[in-house]
Amino acid sequence: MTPATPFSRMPGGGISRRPLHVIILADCSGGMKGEKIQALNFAIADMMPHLEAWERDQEQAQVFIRAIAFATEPRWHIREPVPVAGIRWKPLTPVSKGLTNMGPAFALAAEALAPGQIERRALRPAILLITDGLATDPPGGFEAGLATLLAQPAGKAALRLSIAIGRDAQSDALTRFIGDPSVPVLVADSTEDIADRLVAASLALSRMSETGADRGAVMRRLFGPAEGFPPGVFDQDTIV
Amino acid sequence: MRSEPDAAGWHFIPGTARGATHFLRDMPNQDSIAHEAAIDLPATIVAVADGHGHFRHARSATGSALAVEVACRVGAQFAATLAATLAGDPAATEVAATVRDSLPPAIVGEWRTEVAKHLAAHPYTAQEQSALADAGDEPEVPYGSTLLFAVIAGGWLACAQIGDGDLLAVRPDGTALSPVPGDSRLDGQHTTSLCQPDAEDDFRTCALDLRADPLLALLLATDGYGNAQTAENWQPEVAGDLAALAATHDLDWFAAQVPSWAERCASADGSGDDVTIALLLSPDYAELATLARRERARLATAPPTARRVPTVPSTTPVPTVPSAASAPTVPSAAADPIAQSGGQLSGGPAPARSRPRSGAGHAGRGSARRRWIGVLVAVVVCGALAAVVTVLMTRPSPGHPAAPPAGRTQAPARKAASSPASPSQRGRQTKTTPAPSHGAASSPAPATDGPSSPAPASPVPTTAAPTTAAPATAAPTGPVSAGGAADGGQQQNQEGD
Repeated sequence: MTPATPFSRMPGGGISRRPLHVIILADCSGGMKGEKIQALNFAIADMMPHLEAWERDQEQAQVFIRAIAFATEPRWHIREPVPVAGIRWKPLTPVSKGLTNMGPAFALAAEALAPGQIERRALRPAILLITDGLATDPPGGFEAGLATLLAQPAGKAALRLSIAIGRDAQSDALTRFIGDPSVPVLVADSTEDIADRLVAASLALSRMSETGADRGAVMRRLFGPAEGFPPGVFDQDTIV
Repeated sequence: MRSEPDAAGWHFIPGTARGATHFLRDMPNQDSIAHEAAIDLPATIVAVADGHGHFRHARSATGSALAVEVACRVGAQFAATLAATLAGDPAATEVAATVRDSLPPAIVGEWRTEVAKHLAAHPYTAQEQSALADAGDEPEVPYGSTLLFAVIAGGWLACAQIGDGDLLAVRPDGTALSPVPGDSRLDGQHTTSLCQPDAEDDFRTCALDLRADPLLALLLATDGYGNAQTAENWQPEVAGDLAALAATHDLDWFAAQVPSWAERCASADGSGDDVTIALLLSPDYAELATLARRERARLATAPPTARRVPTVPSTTPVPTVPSAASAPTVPSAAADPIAQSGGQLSGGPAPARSRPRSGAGHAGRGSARRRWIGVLVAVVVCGALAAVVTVLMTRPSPGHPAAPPAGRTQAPARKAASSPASPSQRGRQTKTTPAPSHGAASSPAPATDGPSSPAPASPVPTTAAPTTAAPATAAPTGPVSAGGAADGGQQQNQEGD
């Protein structure tokens, strides 16, 4: 494009790309102990360069990472948004005998997405849920947490993706979390698959984000036949 | 490029740029901008529009172009309506009601008519028809666009906006005013639009009596501008900076800068979206901004005085050191007023007056050293001379009468090597100093230069910098230096006043 006039002086406090917040919800229940958590840590660390490369290539967003480790209770693993460029992933550790309570994790993410907590100009955020098992929330806990998340405009608008580690982890709950029938749960059949699925998730995040892209076609290409128009991160420019 | 005032005397300065992401994806600039200048009424009419980027709105570039065209046409009609309304000296609420009841229906109605005409001339392709049917959209949806619109007539500002983007009014003192109310539905992901069935109801309007609340400027911008701003609440700072820039720059400068602002915001360093800016500067913007700047400076008289008082004894070396240390920041501050004091641009640039100050500081230190060396040498020489005279006088030798005078003449000669140069330099100094000083004093806002820049404290041009050491040398201590200082100090204080 035409370069900006050098030395031009603009009023205001400066400009920058719009923030794109990615929140990773990582299952750290007792079941993740051993090989799974190692593979997950490796896969997340491996995913970061993909997101960083995408950040360089696209011309609209600066990507910020946050992470919640959840088991019986959720906790912030990365509380403050960290630019994806140059991030060093600190390994997750499983909670011995920890359960897989997802509802509180959704509620914690909702707090971070509340109005005033993220920039008004921020792009539609992305939430990536990674789990190896079914939700173990007490009755109504999952729904309550999900409702809290969806009650926030940014939570409702968020691009929500999910990775199930193992076929058994794929559940209706994850589909409800995604909230879009055109976006499938990504299944890692083995620990070796986790990295591939995370790369696929980052691809989905980036491809589905392209302004003007036919997101249905993107989803079909990535995940097979799908219907409708999944939400994209950059897809902010249409009517209410 | 020269910006000519329109029929109402306001200056219209446009800027638009295609977004970086639009370049990347081979999409056009879907924004539009228009200014109605060719009307008989003394009115200002300006509109910007942002065609939606989603693929549902494949014809949004056309939609936004039609929107600004229609807005200008409707605006011209509305200016006449407003004039008739104002003839009855109405209350503000009545004017606001006129705006609300007149503008949205007229704009939406005419925009739909124009869309229908365009559609008749350019029917949807089979593919477009299929997409329309799949999405269940009305025929107008592919033309979807926002609209920001302002009419200034009869001393009133009327605004109407549908969709995202920013309308920012700037008062002469640099405070910001958002004329139209916000809309919580504009969450950054979705926007209200002209293409919606209930578009009239989604307009936000306002009427502002400019006679009671005069404006310095009005900024209309598509959302790519605001989305590029790093600050969450960027409007106050932008307004303050615009007011300060208006006090120190002319229309040609704005005409050159505004397009580059749009380019930068649209770049990959900004929002990456299309950006369109319409800047309106009031007919007397320069006077308003300068008066407001002077008023700010008057209210903040303490800082400049406080800064200059310590410089009064600047004929002694010590106070000049800090000024020399601070000197490097002065040229940049003069070159970029925004860089000054957190965006408070009250100070006029004075690069020619600022640089000598650093020279004066350095020269002052060197001259002081020379001065003290000279004093010491003089003392030693006088002592030696006195000793010689004493010795000679105690020796009754009439055959050597010339010795003492020779000794006396040598000593002054050595003093002359240092000291006589000072008076001569001081003479040059007193000739060169007043000229730039008076020149500075005759600048448009001399009193306000102080707060933003310590530069005026040194009234000597750059080329005269080395000579500024002379007054310091010529004013060694006490009353003598006070006299020298008084001169300089008076000049400084006159500037400060």
